[in-house]
Amino acid sequence: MAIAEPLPRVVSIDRPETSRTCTVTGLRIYAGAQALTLANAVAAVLALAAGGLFGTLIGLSRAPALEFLGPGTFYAALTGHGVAALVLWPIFFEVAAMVFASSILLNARVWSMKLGWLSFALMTGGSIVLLLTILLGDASVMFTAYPPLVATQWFYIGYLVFAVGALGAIVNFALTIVAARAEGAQEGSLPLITYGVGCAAILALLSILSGLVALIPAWVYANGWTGTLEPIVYRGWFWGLGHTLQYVNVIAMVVAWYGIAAFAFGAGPVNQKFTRFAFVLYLIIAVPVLGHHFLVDPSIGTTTKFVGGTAMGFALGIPSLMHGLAVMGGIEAEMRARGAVTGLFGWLKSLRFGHFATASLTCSLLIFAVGGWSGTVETTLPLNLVNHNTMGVPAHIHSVVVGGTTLAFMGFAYYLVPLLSRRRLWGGRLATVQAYLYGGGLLLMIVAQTWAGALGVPRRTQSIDYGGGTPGGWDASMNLNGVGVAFASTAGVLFIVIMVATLVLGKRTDDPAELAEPAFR
Amino acid sequence: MAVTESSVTAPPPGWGRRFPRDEKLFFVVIVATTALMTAFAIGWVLWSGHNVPRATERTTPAAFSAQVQAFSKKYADDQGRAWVPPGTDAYMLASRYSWYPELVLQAGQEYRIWISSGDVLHGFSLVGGGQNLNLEIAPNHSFGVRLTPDDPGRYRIICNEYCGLGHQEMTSFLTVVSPAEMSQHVADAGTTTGGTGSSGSGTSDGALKIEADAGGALAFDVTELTARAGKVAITMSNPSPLPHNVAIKGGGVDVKGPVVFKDGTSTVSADLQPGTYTFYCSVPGHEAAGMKGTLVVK
Repeated sequence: MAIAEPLPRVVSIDRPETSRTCTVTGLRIYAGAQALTLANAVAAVLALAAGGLFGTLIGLSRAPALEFLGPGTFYAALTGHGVAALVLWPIFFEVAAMVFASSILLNARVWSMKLGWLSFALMTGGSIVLLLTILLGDASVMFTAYPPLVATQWFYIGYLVFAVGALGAIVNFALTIVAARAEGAQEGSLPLITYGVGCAAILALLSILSGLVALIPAWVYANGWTGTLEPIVYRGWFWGLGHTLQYVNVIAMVVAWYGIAAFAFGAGPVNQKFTRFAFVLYLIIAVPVLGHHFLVDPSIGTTTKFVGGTAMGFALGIPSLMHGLAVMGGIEAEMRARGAVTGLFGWLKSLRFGHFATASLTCSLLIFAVGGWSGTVETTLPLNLVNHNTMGVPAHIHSVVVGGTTLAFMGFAYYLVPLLSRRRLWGGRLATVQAYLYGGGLLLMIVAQTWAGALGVPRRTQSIDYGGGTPGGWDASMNLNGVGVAFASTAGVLFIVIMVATLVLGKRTDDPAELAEPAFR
Repeated sequence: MAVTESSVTAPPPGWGRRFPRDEKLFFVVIVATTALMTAFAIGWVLWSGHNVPRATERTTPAAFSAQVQAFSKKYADDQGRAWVPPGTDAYMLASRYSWYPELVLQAGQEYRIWISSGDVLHGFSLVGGGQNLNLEIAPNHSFGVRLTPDDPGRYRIICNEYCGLGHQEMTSFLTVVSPAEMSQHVADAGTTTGGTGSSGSGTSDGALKIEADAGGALAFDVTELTARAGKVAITMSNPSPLPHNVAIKGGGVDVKGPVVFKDGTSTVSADLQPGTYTFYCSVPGHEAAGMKGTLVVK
């Protein structure tokens, strides 16, 4: 099946570098771009495996019926989970998307392969240093590393090296697009995916710069070279990194939605202006929203908390809802154009819900919507009093980052990896099972964590025993969470297996029907 | 250089299409809903009785600890719980890994409780009795929480901001008593003498001298003491910013010295028969963390 419409056919110029023409999309794929994209995608999947392993351990241990990790191991694993799952996995995948969207999608070469590989090396090296310090138990400070808590200085160095690598990738992304247009390889409007990834890259730049301002003083403080580091100020700069980064993940998720819709249904947004405006809205509103991390902090004014946390938080729902409509509406429009015209919802019958694309897209849209709802509730200033640092916060985080972003990335990877490696996705319908199992497990986790949070169960805590006499429902809710974790973890392992098996065992093919199977009748 | 595949660059599909009516309508609906929600939230902040405390002060661990010490010295009973009379501000220090002191409040009475940290970030979380109140507690900042407890009872407090490897041990209680019980206690406290300990400088000759760990670890500098039978006194000096005391228990004996902060001294004494006793710090959580030792009396 040829990709319908969304990808423009553009002028391309021959270069000495080897390239091939993709039999499915017609795109000119240069060898360097392909290798760099795949390398970052593989690193992402390995980071996800590490984050998922840590997550499985802590999620199961937090079920009071099981509780098998002591404090030292638990807090180290929890730090590892935060770093690998929330920082390393999304950023590596986003760098893969950046390489893809700036070069392959534009029929262009990467501006500098040297910079690309240097960035990859820095990100990989930084990741290894980070994980080593965590595994050695020298950095049990959570991925937030709030002072006055300190870790070994190598923890901060790992973070900083990783950040510099990501910065290099962003620079490469921007210059690749500039060069592609200067050489005439791409003219006119950028494809939607490139536009979206570009917005994500701008936010990523801002968040990394904020992170440097947070982490360099923290590294200095950890070495004992200064006497004090004001924790509220650190929290400000850190969340300038941290929450802005979440919006990089949201934009990347939305890009993945459009990508899946394009590959699976040949669908694009009904109106480009509407969609591109929604991307720009993220850019405008995402930075001040870090205020919601301060809602119950001392020494910060109520107006600052309300505007930065609540008002901006509510406003950020607008572009997400716009994209939700645009993605679903675009698929509907495409199905109607192909003949599914019966009634309001007849078009749904055209979708093959047994296909991994429909499975992952549906679960991602649904669970992200749940997370958007819980985020809106929790960012309301007076309501944060009942929510701050309870299990309600992980409930929100897992809805948006795991149910939303990670599931969307998985669905997109099920197209990207076979197309780039020219190997058929391994396991057939296993990918569909994986997506539904992940979504189902996550929903169970989210219900359990929301319940636990409403009862006041704390997050980031190894045991909720407290010597007995804790409120009713505490143990039951966390045991239920453990069940959800078991399902989701199994599905997570399945994803890793499918990805690795595809790269190693997948049948070599150039047949579009095998590499990018459509998901509609 | 050869130019391949020359084709007119077309803008992506969907540029030229008219903005569909349902997208316009949807956009209006979500903007209107957002505006309504924001208005509601503003109204709640302005007019509800359930809000994030606005009273905060800049302070330091040392200064706040001094306030806590003065407060607890004045109002603490012999178990270290501070009974807060109506109209008095209460103080609570969060430090690894305890909340100090345990407060006793009167039902139906509005109080302001000042909370700060002596070391790292902590999370004040009132979870008992169906409550759910959470605040970020930072060193160098104190939060003044205004609350009115309705019903007598014992309400659990935990820490919910990760603060170190003992984070899951950090728990205490807020006790609420009836007005009658509070007045009874205030009346009783006026007539009893102080505890069996003394604080301040000057130790009796022959008193055993121990020291709390200066770095803030929950430990004394010795874990074994020996003494001759008869009046045994232990004097503990506290160079750390955390609250500590020294107490003796065992063989029917249970006496506690006053809790002191940085640079304070706490003394406890008792008449002891030959045997083995335990000396320990009775601040909640400290003994369990290892702040204890064996006292052998010959």
